[in-house]
Amino acid sequence: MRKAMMLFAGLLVLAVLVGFSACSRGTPSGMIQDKIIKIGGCVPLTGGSAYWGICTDQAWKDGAEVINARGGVKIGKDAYKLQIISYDTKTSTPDAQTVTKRLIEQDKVKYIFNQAAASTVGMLEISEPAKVLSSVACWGYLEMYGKDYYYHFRSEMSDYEQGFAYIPYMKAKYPGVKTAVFIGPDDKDGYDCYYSYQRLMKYYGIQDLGVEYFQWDTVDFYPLVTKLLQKKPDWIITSPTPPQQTASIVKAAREMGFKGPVASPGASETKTILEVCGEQADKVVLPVTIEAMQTQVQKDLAERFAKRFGNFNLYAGNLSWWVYALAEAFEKAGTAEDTTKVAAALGDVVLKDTFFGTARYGGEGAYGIKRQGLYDCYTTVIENQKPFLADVRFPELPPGY
Amino acid sequence: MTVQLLVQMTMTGVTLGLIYGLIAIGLTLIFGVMRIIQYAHGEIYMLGAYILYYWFDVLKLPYWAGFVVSALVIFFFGAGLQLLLFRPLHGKEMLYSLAVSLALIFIISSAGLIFFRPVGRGISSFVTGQIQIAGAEWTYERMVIAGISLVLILALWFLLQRTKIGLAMRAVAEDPETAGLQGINNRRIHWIAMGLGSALAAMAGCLFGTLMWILPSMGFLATIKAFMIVIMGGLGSVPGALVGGFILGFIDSFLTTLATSEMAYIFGFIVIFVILVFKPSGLFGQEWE
Repeated sequence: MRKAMMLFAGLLVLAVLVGFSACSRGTPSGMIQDKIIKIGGCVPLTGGSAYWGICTDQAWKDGAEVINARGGVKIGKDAYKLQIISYDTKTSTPDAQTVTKRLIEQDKVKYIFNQAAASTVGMLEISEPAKVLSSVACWGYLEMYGKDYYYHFRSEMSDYEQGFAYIPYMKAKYPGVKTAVFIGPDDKDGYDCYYSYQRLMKYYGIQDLGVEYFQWDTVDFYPLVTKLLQKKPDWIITSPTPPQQTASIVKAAREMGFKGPVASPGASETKTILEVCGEQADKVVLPVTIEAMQTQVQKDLAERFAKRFGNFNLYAGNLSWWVYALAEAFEKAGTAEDTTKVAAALGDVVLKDTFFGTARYGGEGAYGIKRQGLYDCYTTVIENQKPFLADVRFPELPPGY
Repeated sequence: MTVQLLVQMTMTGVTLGLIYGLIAIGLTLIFGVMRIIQYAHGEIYMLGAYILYYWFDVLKLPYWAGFVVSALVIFFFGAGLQLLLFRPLHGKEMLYSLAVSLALIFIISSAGLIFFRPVGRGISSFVTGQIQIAGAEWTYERMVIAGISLVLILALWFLLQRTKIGLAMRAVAEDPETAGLQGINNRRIHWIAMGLGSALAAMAGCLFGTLMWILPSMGFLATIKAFMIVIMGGLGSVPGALVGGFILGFIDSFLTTLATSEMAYIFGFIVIFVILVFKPSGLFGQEWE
């Protein structure tokens, strides 16, 4: 009896082993090891830029799932699935360096997406020498951009490019606007954004009355806005300023009697501004922002996000085209291994039906290489305490851009 | 400098000073009675703000009822923290309670990030409109918030100076052993003080959240301000917290407007250093062993 039991157990183990062995040969399609292209997320998921970082991460993950669901990326005869691996940079440059090293050395990624200057600066020092292609949102640090950074794509329009889309609208809507003041964070991002606006104001003939910088831990904007309003501007610009700080600036300005428009290119949503400012939110101008989805692509994305992540942050829509552009670049280049070829292909990608309409890369004249994302700018304005889509246009770029 | 600018800066300084004082007063009360440095004071302040946000802006229930509910909920939350976490450490090295309060910072703020998400929100104003004084604008909202902050600070002073429970708190703060020998239940006073200090933080959070915005990470800044004020005014001193709040509020208002926000930041710390050089225990503080 004992021998019989042992024989039976042995046969059972043998059967299990044979079964696993058969599975590992991968005859049914579901058991085949998919070819994978790993894409790294070096994003701030906590800290001051967490709002933007989380939106970026979600946009890539959603896009990757859509692409995978329709069969993946076709390179030659093979289909590749996209795998997103993200780590938190905590809005810190040293942490971004650590994350980048981990992605490249441990996870072996050749493609990284990023958000915000602090993370981008840390990443670039490692990714560019390693010929890792990066697709980022970074509005400053122009000295780390251009033809010397072949693999570095600034896929989000900075406020400089956005300005060429929404300022023509502003001048038509508010013809009395002749002077402006700028308020931004007291860091390199703020300084670089002011530099963008100095050039834009000069281009559009708006008198620059000066700049004030705020600390990120500012709890009350009354003192700073009091100082700004002494200059008697027609227009206040604040960038790059998240929605909550934008709301506080608007509220303080309105309470102190300022009646002109306030533009905030970085806010990207209206809910917080309306909650904080209430009836004082009128004449807030938000480039690259939409509240009500207009096109089917926008509606589908919003619905998918709501199901996948529990809600849809509008800013994620801005960035949603990046992954599709990269996927098309893989197919055009015919490789996911050679980042030089992929970068060349990505520079020439033109997508027609993205969340923000037509999207492509440009900037050959301005930056020496086509690495700047450009797309339709949806400008939302708050009036009568409601956001409405005021204008849609591709940036009216200056000659030689 | 015009009269209008001077009046504007003064009114801003008064409002800021009172809110800062309210944030700090709870912290100083907790230290005064329990000899605990509650580093998670800012996180408690954040929770109070979110309770009001969900009550008023999400559930659309009355604002002032929400203000009271927030204070009550956080009172019991604070009291619960004292009973569960700090009481077992009473009498032991201060390092243990420091470790607990530091851990609370991460636990509460991380939980806040998960439940509330890192997206700024605003508590809608309960009143609109403003008046002009010498050309400077002062909103009814700021007036009411400044007034309520002052009332709460005075109410705390009255409680401490004119009521039995306040007398008991002061006795425990001054000499816990003798207070115990006199029949005061130190343990009961501890959880009441912790609850009260936490409730004051919550109310400050509600008022600040109405004036500005709320975010799960807002607590860290509040803790920094509260500590600056408490160090200036003296650990354990309620009048010190109020005076310290005004000093910081006026520095922030005047220097930011007349110079830069960095100057205001630096000058605030310089003032603390100068005070500590001449009076190490702070303006109204006592010498603790």
